[in-house]
Amino acid sequence: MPQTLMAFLAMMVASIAAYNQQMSSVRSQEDRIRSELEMMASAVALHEIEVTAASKSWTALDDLDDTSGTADFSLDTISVAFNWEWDVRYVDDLGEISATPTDLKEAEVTITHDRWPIDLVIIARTFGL
Amino acid sequence: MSATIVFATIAFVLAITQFNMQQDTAEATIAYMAKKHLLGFAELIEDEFELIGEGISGTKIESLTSDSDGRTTSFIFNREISTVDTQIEYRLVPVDTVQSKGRDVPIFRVDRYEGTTKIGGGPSMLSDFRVELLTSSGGAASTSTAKVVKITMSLAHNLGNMDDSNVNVSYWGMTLRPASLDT
Repeated sequence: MPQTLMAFLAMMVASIAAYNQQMSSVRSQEDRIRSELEMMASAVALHEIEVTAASKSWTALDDLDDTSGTADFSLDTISVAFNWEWDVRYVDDLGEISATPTDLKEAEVTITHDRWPIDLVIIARTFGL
Repeated sequence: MSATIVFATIAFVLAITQFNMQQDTAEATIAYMAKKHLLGFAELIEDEFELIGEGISGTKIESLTSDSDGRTTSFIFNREISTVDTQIEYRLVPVDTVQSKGRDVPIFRVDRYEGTTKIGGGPSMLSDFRVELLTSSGGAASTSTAKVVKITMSLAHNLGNMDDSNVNVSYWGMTLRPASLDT
């Protein structure tokens, strides 16, 4: 009987060790996938912000506020869809949000992915009048 | 007899666990190193592509050529280096073909030339490299009308044994607006 208990205990310990390793492996893999998605999301965010900076006038930036949509990161055989959302607000000279209009607008793009319940990348740029 | 079976079972479970742990650590290390290579090259590209056409009064972007799969095989532009107008070329060079999930994955290196002299370049692990010239609204542009430059590339991990890794390619991209193309 004591031997049976010892054997059961030993197998339980081994099983727990194997389970923990498996969970650690899954977390590690999820982290690596998220890290890759963050790199792609950064590329999408930079594209959005550069094209906006090149094509929108200071006044037209207001049109972006609260707009959202999707954009793909595509290369070779892969294509990953990301969601983007813009926030545009007035900021003061210190970059603090201003309740009253100033000569500076901060345009912030947030990139998310349907698989993750978090903001993958947020990039903001300040535009002067 | 029972003790032997129990011992064998436990030893087997622990051996598998140990093997998986080692494989996981190796995979994480390979992925980290691959990403480090990719980001190091990306930094070089970012620093240089911001300066496309810098100090050049004539043609800023000379040419952009691609292969049938859309990969950029050569990107030539001019910029000033130490007050000397210099022609820079980023040239894609095939180095190998590996197999992943039954598919041929060509592997490349990007060499950087100043004039005709090879100076610098990227890791020999790239699986894709693309430069796109865009207008200010994000549409396709020619070498003379480009205002925005978009670069995307990917780097394969664990060459030769790609299928041993669950995440075996890293992707990177950046869109730049070189100041001199705005003028």
